[in-house]
Amino acid sequence: MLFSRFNKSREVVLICHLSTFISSVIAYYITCANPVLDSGG
Amino acid sequence: MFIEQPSRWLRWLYPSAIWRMDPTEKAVYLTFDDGPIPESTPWLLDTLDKYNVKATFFMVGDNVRKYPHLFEDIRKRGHRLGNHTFNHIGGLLMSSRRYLRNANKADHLIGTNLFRPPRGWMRNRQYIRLRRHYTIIMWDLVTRDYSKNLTPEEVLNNVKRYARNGSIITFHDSLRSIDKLKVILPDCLEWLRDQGYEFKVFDEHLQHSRKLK
Repeated sequence: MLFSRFNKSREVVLICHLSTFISSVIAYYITCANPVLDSGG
Repeated sequence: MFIEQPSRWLRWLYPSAIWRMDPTEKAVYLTFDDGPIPESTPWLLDTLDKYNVKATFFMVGDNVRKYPHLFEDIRKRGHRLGNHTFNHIGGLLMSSRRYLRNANKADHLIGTNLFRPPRGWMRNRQYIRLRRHYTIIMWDLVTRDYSKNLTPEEVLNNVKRYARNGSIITFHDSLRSIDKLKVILPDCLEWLRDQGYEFKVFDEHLQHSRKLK
């Protein structure tokens, strides 16, 4: 229902963005590797 | 630009860690991570002495074990001591228990209430447990003196561009950075002094801490 107003390609793009964001958050918490926060040593 | 000066939302990851000191105070806090090592530490100490500057050294416990005379030298010259874990480990794939044990092992040699996680990376649980025992010092400015992609002049420009009142400035006491520091650290200290910055170290009573049991 939520996506009924979107055409198929927009749904795909939205899902890709969401999954990328969620996997990034999960990856951060698994690895603790934050490329933006890095003192270098 | 994101790496040199962490943005506000990144600082919210560890809200009770110290990222910057008093922004109304015209002072900076120099920190050197990863030492002590014979290739770098003696030169750094002599240079800091020459400019009558005190700094904070976040040391790796295993290096302290290997070079106790350098550790003593840092202490005797009046610099502040900090814990940087025993084996320079990050939170990466390391259980919180092992991580804390490693920090505690370094603390037995260094004896300090200041802690900086290697690379600034720690899990939330590690952060929560560490802050019970240590004052966690992060940074307001990382110079990227370790980077192969930056020239010494670019490292100096990072300091000139991002230093501000209360900045905690991160350099490294390591093989990766010493060649650059030999070129720019004197200029850096002179420039900061010319701008009116006082060089300070963290107060002993910055925050109450208890030793890990």
